Amino acid sequence: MLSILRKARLKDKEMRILMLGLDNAGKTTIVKKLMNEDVNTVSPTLGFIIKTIDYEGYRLNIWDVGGQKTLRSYWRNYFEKTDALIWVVDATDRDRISDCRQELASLLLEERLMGASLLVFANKKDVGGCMSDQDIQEALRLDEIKTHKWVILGCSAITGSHLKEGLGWVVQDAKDRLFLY
Amino acid sequence: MATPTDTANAPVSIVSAKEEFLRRFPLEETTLQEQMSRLKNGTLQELDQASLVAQCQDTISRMSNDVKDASSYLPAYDQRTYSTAIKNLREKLQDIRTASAPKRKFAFKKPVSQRESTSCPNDGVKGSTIRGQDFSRNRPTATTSSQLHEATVTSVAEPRAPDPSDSQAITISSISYNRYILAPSSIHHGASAVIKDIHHSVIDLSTPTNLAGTFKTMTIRSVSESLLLCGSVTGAVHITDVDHGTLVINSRQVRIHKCRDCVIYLRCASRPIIEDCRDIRFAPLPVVYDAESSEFTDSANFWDQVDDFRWLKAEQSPNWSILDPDDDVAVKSEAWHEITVGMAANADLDDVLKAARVIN
Repeated sequence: MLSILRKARLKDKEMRILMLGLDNAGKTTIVKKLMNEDVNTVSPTLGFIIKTIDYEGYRLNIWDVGGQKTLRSYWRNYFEKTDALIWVVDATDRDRISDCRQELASLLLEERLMGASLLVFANKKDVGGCMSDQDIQEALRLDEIKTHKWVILGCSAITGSHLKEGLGWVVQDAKDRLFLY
Repeated sequence: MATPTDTANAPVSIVSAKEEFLRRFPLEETTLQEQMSRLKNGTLQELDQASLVAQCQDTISRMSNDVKDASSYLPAYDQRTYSTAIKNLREKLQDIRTASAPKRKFAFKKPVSQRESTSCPNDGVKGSTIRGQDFSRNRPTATTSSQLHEATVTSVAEPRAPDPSDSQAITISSISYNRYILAPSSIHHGASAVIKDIHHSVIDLSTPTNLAGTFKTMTIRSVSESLLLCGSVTGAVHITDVDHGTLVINSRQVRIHKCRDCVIYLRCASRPIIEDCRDIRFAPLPVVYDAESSEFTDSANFWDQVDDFRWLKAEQSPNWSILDPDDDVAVKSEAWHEITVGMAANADLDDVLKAARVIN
């Protein structure tokens, strides 16, 4: 039933994308950069922000929810009807990478997120000395994920590198699913 | 090495870029493997060897970028296979390098002669780690109490030259009853800095950032009874678990967690936030640290517009306030000047902490 609904919406070329991750990962900055807005005055997100981006004929409704500890318990209010989950990781934050893994692992157990594809953005690649995509892939134990289709992509919200490619994957993945069902 | 060239089960919407990628990747991989086995045989001259290594490195990063670009049209499984292939190539090249490369000549320099530096070890993987340093030998005026504790400061021997390409993450950790000034030569523009496990100390990163550029990100964790002069940070400063500290920060974004009893002198280009904090007082950045070259000088300053994630009501949060300039703990601008001069002149640790009102 869910997949039929989902398919109907995909045919309307509209997708709901949920953007989550620990605080300071750069979620809002990524969205702002994609919208060509100023990234220099981004304040930490109190609550959530919804932005609609038109990409390759698709309307992408991106739900950017704050990552502070206080807000994480509210994440589940946003799970419904999610087509793709974008998990943003701060590639410079070695200290909290295991927190990051645990938060992601518990998200992927959520029934309402089943069927959503997972794009892991390894953000802040412009910063010297950051972790490689491989390091992050291992630290987050992405290879153990069998329940979701996933991909990891290094990016920089400040320079904008690989952000469009990430959306491209999300859209392509949606197209592929249309053929599948 | 298994590289799937099987295009039979590709999605229906085949892009020409995809075909191009699938054709080119195995070709490049084969060439690389050949080049690397030549390197391994060690029959080449040193110079040729070095240039071939550099060439292999370039090819690998280009291939890695290709795989990233291909992420929009490659299925997840294939992408993983390609990333694994690249990872293997990287490791192989690294093995060859470590096996054959002559010793690197690059060395970490500490130009400040008044201080004795005992360590700049590198974990060999990423970033240079700078641990607690023992300056007690050339500090004749050390107070009795700090002499007692200086015995516990870890000095790390065995300095190894860090790989210049990797030395952009700076870690300053495990310092107590001591002063630490980051030497301008040990910072690279665009570096990230981590300051953690600091007790009863002064950490001064302000000089190099004003002179030699800025940090891109900074993480501060587990600090007590200390003065941190953080310099300027073009990205976010992420602060966790600071107890009774004075911080001087010039940055784009500030996030403060689980801190108690702190005074924060701040210039911030976005609204600072606190979470699970109490008794945090904010004050404007002292003129001494507000470098004219700062890239934030022209942007808005939100130092006094703090959001408390634990206080979502309209009224003022009880967890933070604006520091009254006449308050006992407020540091006057002349005193900041004295602190900078004192740090440069190797003044006594406790005198500096007293001047910054961290201790009485």
